[in-house]
Amino acid sequence: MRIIRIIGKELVSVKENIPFNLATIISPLLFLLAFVVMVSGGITIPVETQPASSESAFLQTTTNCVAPDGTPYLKLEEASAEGAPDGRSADRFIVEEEPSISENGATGTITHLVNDVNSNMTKNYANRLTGALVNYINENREANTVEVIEETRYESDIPWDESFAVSTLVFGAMLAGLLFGQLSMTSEWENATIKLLILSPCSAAKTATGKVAGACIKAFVAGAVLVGVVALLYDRTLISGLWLVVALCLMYVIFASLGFALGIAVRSTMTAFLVSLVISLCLWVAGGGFGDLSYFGNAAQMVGSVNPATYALDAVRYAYFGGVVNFTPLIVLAVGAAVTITLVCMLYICWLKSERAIS
Amino acid sequence: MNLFVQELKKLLALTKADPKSLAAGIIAPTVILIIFALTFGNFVSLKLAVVNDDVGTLGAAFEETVFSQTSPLSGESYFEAIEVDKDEAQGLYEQGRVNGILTIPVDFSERLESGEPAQVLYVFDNYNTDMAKNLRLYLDEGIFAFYQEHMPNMEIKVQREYAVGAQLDWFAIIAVGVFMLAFLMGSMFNFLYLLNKERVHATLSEYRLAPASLLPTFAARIVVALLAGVVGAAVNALLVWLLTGVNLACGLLAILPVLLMLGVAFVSFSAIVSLTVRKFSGAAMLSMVTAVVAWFLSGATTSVKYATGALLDVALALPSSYGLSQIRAAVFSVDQSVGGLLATGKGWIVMTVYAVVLATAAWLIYRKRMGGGGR
Repeated sequence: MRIIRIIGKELVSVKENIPFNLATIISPLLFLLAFVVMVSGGITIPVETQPASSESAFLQTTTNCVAPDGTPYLKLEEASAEGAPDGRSADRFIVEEEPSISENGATGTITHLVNDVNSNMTKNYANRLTGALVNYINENREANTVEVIEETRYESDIPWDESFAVSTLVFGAMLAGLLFGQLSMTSEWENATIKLLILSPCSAAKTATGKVAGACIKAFVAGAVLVGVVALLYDRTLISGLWLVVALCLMYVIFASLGFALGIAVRSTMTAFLVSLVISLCLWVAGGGFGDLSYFGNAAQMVGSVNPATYALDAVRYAYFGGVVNFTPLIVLAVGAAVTITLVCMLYICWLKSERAIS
Repeated sequence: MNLFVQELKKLLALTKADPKSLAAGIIAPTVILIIFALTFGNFVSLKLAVVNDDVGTLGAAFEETVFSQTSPLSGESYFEAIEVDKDEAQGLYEQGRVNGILTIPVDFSERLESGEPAQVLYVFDNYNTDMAKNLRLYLDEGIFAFYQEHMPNMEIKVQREYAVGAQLDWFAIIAVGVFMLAFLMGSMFNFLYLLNKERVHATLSEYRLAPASLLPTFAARIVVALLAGVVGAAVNALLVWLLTGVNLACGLLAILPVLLMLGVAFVSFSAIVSLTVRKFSGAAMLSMVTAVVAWFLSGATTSVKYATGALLDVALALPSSYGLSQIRAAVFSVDQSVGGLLATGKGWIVMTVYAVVLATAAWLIYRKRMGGGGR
């Protein structure tokens, strides 16, 4: 019964600081919208061509170099004039000698004029040019060619922006959990009720559990808003709503508990907020939220294996996109949640004892 | 002047007494930089399980060309081969320990030698359209190289020339952006933290009783915030140098005025939000988050050059886009103006307008909220 009252008090305290609670919902929403907009261009990049694509059979067929869903890898633009491109121009494909493909051989010369200092973009353009050439060769001859028979994990490629949006749900869960968790303690200092809390006859474990539960409920509401926005942006039927709810709720428990501990340690809402933002962002990037972990080295893989965000991302992605059924992420998150809340309760008990001794 | 100096001394003493306002601006961007270093500074080959059932020699030759193509991004091979049998390959793939399985069938060489097209089976995780694109095109790199080596009379040449003076590592470009973020976060956080501290200690009421104008105190707060940002940025610059070899000190004369203008704009923005909204903590939080989001939208990780539509409009409306472009230009000695889109002159106009307008608005709100007689 006391836990219910503590939870009730935590929920009612939303009225004390409505801007903070709103900001906790709006913050991950801002990140969601920013990231989705950033990758909304998808995998198509512009390229200048010389000559115009209408004057080259090869360049015309580069428009056939597409992903299975029909998204072109390249958007062709005619180069404005010969000579060096300006800083705004994309890289340029120059057909020095028109490729000629027959069953007897293949000739041609293409120059890739690099116009971006970022070596990642040079790689992207080089890959697309090569892909277009392989496509052109395979279309114009059969002998000595290699045909790739694909079998993919998902029926169709998951759109990049949608994949990002879904992964932002995990970022939102971490941020909301940390913020509401830390606020449940830092607000006690800010409202000068910390002494009342320290001297409360209620058992420390119940107090800690009640506060963390209250933070979880608030985080759940924030998460529901994010899920709703994702649902409005993308028309996708969930593979498993239960997986989504369980994964996110376990994340709320873990991070509300961590936030609660952070609040005890830091005592200041401002500082705790900054720490929460940095922790959420870093765990999200390090868990594969910004780019799949397989791109990164052993150090990143090792960090990923102990990062709850890695498992949450796997679970949430399964909830939306399906794939191989694997209960490991949920089991790891459940164990993590149990361990975290237990440790945090113990931390609170120790802290309370030391504060009472001082008092 | 005297009031400005006194306020400056007070705020510096406050900062010294509670280094958390500095530590937060140092630690936060440092952690962000390290995480980006671990990820975007550490690209490795994607792992593919290879099952080569080919009875001839061309299967091995194909495998060798696929796994020997190197990326201009990392200098590493696109793929790392994990040679296993079919069952092991499937197990590794199911566990997510490889990105895919490349199976070269038993008749690969036979078909090629008889003039027929050969086939390979490619099973992979189309995690998202970007990963799927990379997995497909990286394989095409290997296929093209195989054609060049083994297709009779294959004389297609691909040349690469450079219209730019340098090729930069992606992480180095991002790291310079994190340096700017360190300055902005450090400045904003110091301003917000010290203001909040005085609010908590109830010393802000003294401003309401002040007979003189509060402008010197406002200016002092901005100056201390900028100094705190400089400290955070300096630590971050050292870390950037250690991680990437990029020496930000080289372009210091060009960088400092940019940081000053951006710092005034962003600190003023945080002042406006935190003094307008009733509850300080929520407002402070929102202003810091907005700064981080603005950083991403300003071309922190992907160039504004490739932005279109709303994204481009937003990027061109942000002063940090121009600032970041000028900082990168100063550090890397390459033109980052994107063909005039982020031209220096235009950038200075945008940054100055933001700084002046936001600082003026912040001062007016500060004066109103803090009260005081003033003349």
